[in-house]
Amino acid sequence: MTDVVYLNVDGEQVKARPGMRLLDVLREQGVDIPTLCDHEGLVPWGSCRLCMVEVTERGRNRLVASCLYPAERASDVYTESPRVRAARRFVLTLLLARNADVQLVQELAGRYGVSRLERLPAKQEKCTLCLRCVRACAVQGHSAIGTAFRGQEKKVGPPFDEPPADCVGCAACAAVCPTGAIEVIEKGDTRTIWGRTFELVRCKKCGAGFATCEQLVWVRKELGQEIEDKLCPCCRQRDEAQRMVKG
Amino acid sequence: MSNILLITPERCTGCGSCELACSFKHEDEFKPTASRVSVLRFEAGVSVPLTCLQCDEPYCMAVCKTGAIDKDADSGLVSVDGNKCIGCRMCVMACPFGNINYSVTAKKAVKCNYCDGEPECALWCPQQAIEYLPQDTATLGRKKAYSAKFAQLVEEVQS
Repeated sequence: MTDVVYLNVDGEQVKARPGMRLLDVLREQGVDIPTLCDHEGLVPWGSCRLCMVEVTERGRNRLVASCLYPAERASDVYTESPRVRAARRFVLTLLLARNADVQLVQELAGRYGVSRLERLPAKQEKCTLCLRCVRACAVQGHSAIGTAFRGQEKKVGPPFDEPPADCVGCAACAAVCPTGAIEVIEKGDTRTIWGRTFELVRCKKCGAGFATCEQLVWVRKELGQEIEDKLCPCCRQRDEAQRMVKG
Repeated sequence: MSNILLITPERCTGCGSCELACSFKHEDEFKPTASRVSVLRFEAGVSVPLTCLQCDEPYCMAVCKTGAIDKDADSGLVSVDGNKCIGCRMCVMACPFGNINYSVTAKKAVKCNYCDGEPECALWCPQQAIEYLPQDTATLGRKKAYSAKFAQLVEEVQS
């Protein structure tokens, strides 16, 4: 296998490492490829279909999701061709119908000149089904959430819509969500997410709730040893400082 | 690692210049709470500036499942790649010293990485309470004296 692949991106020759994702090659070139589902810390999924580009390789031309497509051989890549723009407009038309109020979707729709189609009923859903949350949960080994149903009914959530037993309450799902669709309620000493309420562990010194018990159990298991679980991070630092001056 | 960040609490006046320099460098604003270095102030005018110790075997890195936290083999610096961080906060729970933070606005972990080799805090400290010095016998000896106290802390937790 060669250690470099030559691509022709919109008429310009570009070098890439074989096996590199086309999306990363294009980003390195400064090409702005729209995407909702891609996250560098998560496995590529290809669910939003916004990063589609046109590739001509060995005489064959097709649309590919650049987040899943590896650069392996010399090819011509078109990032804003009429076919690419039409594919993105199609996806954005559907997204704009389901996620009518989502700013990110509205901005992308604006960029591609997409407006609402009257015949598609407008829904005010926040979730775009990009599944970043599901992958963020799975990468840690919890897999507390997944998808249920298919087609128009498809949705993300815990099994049977019950408070998820495997959730540790870390809220990474909410942190990676590009549209703020996942609600986390921190109230007093509790954190509620996916319908499950966690009691927060209080810091022995300042009394602040700083983690769920399940989070600390998970960290302990991952490290294979005991951890500082009595003090919040702030008080740990204060403790560390005190030791420095006391000697 | 060529240089190390050395802290001398006896010299710290608690002015907080390091926190301002740090937050301005990384967040474009003068905001001590967003700083990667913290000045811990005690009674009788005693203050200690603290930041990440760049552990040899970082707990934060050990619990990170997305590879967002990495220790550079040459420089020894432990850094967070914000693009890979999913905001699970496990690193924050794992650090025994509380030296890695979670940014509520960015929804990601943030920590000191010695400004990639040019720490602003050391540059702006008027008292040389934070110094960025070559890693020689003298500086390492001073650092080890403090490390011994932290080792004691870790032992207490584990026992």
